[in-house]
Amino acid sequence: MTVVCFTSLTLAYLPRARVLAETLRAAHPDWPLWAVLVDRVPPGLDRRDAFAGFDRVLDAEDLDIPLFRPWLFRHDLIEACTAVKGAMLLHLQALGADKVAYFDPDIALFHPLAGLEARLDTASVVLTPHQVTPNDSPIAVGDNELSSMRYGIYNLGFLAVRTDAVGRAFAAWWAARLRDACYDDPGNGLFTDQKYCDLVPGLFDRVAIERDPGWNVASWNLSRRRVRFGNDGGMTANESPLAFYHFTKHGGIGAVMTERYARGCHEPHELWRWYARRLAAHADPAIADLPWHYARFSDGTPIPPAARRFYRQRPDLLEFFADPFDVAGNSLRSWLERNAPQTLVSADDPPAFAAR
Amino acid sequence: MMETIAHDPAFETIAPHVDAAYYLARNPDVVTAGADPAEHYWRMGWREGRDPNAWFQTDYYLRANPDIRAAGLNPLWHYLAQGQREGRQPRPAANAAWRDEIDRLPPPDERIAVWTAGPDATVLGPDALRALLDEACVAARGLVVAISHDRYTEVRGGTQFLVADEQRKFNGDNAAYLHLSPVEARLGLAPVSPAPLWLNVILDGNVRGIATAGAATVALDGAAESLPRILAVHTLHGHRPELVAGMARAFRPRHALFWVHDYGAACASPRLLRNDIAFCHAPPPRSLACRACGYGEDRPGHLARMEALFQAVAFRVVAPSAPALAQWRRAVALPARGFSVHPHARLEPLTAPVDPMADDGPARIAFVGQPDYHKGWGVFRDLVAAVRGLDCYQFYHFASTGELAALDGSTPVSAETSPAAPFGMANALAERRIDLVLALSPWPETFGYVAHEALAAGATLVALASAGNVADLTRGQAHAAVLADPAALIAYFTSLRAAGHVRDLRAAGRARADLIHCGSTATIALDGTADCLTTDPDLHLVAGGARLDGIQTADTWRFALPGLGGVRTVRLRSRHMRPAWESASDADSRRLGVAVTAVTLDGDPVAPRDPRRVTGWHPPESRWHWTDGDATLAVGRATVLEVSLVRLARYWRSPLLEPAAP
Repeated sequence: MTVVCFTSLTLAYLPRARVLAETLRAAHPDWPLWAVLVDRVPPGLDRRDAFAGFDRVLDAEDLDIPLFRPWLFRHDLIEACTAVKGAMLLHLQALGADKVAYFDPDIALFHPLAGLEARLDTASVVLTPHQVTPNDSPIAVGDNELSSMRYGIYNLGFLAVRTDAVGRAFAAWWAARLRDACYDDPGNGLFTDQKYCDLVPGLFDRVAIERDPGWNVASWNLSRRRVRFGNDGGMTANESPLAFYHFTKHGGIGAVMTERYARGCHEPHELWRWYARRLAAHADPAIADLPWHYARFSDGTPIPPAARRFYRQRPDLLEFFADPFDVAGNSLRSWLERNAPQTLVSADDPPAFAAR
Repeated sequence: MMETIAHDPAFETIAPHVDAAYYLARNPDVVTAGADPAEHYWRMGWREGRDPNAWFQTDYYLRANPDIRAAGLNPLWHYLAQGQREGRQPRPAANAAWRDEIDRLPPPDERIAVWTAGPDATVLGPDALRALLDEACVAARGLVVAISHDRYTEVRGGTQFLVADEQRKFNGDNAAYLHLSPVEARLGLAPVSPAPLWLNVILDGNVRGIATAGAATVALDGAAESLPRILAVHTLHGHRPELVAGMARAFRPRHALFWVHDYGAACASPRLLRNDIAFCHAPPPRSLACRACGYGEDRPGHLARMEALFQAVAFRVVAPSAPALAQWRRAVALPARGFSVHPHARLEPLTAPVDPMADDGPARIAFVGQPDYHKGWGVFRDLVAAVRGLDCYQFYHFASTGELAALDGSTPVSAETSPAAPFGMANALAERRIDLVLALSPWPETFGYVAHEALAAGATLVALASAGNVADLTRGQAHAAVLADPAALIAYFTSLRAAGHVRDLRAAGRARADLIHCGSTATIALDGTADCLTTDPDLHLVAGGARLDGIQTADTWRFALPGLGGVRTVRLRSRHMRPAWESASDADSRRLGVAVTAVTLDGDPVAPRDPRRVTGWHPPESRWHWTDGDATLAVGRATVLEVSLVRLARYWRSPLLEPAAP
């Protein structure tokens, strides 16, 4: 029996997703990998070539999400890519997948995920906490443990679900929450799809908390995980085979945290160097500078974050404008220009997808 | 101005931690400006990325803590006031010499090749190269073809020095020595390509030009057919093994030897340093470690090409130490014909301890050679910084002038070993009376030539366990220390155990040793028993392009000169050697052939200063007259030449060239 895997991405994240695909393929050749694309393939880009490492690619707009374009308009890039995960999980369950695993596109697998299939024979949901060992210094507590309290105990870069009654109930609940409010809004207790999952061990039975230190190694737990290469060429984290590393925030805070917490160990730096080489190998000039399809109104002007925030608080607007991206005629934008012009002033491009 | 600063509690916090001596030594502009170091660091030094002391790295702290950078806080103040308590680090980590290295590692496709031949290099076609070989092989005892990665006559380095020693010893045994190195120098094998591969051609130590591997293959086909032929592969960087196999097939050597100077047979990273920083133990080529390494992608192809080379050529693998051979065999499984251990040099004890003088000065500790990561320079740098302020240690960096690196707390000493000065480094270490020489390589060195030089100088080794044969060599020494890792090394010094150790060593006295260079391939005996030194000069004539042997009675050789009408001069050839190359205690740098006591032509003496002794004769001495091993003699129409000599020299003799060799 296999585990059906999926990831969620925009085209800007395709090189990362290709690294996920090649490493997943090497570790688990028989696990199919799906991609859900929260973007549009531009004319001139061969979709089959672009996603050659994947078994199936699904456009997010083909998922069962009512009023897709109005719904998507409420989200920035990070939010949108995480918001579709629930619907995608339901989709795969509906297609008959017995075991489903989600991986963020910036994850790379090393050793096979020993025991995941067996684990899903007894568990319905498998979650990986950001930390499984207490930190020992104030800065590490602040960077890691307090961050988890704010953004979520479990890292939703990985999730595995069995399609049994509990797994179906979990998927339905999670997808519903994400349809309603998958926002980066910690002040209101929300952080995309992740913070909700703090509730999962309480809400559902048969939830397994995977504490294997070789799973989901990342800058937020590097302070307590020692990554090593063995003389046999294998890799371990705290003596456990390194199953997957989460290369979160490449080139940004991820590098800072690695610098801070790798301390005297060169292995995490070696992994980052490797990751940069693989990204370069998978870089694609055809997509390198493409803007996110949903970042702009139909005339190409960027959608300010304030407009999205305003819009998401107004269900009446959602129902009124069939396509909020469209600027022709009596459009959302013309309505905003008349009634909420302050939402249109900051027109910076949205930040790159850098969510946990 | 001073008043405001002096009463600033933040300044008062940092001031005691700005090491004035350290700061001024690194910042000559602050000295020039006459500024107070603490004040300078407080006002502007940190903004300019200067370090206040040996343990706090300004740039690192700001890089690791963007919040502090964004807040515009003095990083040292933040660390002292708050960061320390929070668990922030003042520098990357103790012993993180690899940190700079990892950022330098170029991706495989950016590893550049460097073209080393001048535009005016003589291009040798197959016929021209063959003509040079034929000439060199006249009267020779054999032909050696040696392969390594650069022009050993021009590049300073351990392998180059050993190749030069090998060439000299083969030449001294009357064998011709052809050396081929890639014109395009690179790390790892040259890519497979239909384009010609250009090689530097050095014959008997003289650069003769460049030739393609194809031309060399044609020239070697049938060359020296009647003579013993030896192929010695030292390193393959920049070569295409396919072409080496082709040359070997054409050359048909009696012995093909593959030297373990490094582990380049196993990987393009010749020291097996994963990502240039950590010894990898040569894991399986498709392992995760290889995937994560900048050299790993090339490794399966590299191994396949090496495998094909070993299938094509029946190599005997020779390592200069048993640990190196064992490591090589763990790293790579190639179908070799056999395996041997043959050291490049050995130590012969000299007289009793020669340093009886009381010496209460600081312990003198040296790092010898290139200041490179793979030699352990970063560890040395960390050590010097860690013991800064302890006046019981004095550190030195010994290297050739171009390789000396500036390092606070370490005195640079220009010294080198070269074909012109084969004991240059050992003598320099002895002159400075160095107590401890550090061997800090992060990879298992195959031989450790520098360590041998250190022992020859009467110094004691302090090695890291990672250093391979050097560590083994160190363990074999009475007073030496092998430390588990850089942290243990630093503790050994900071705890003052090293200083105590040096006191004991000085009390025991230091013993120098003679370093005997073994000529690598030139002294290999496959049965392991042969004596490689001989007093037999192998005296013969070269006349009319042919070898002419005489009849020997005691120490007189009688040659019947050929009745060749045109021949008026003959070459008097013999084995030869250089005393100054053989022993540090011998200053005679002449190339010596035979010490001739008498020459007669048809019974008439030819006196030492007779103009018929044309070339190749050193100034005559009272009782004999040295040739350089290849002297010319004008013989006129004489029919009998008699040469008497006294056997003063001991020559190296290559067992592989002996007719009886298997």
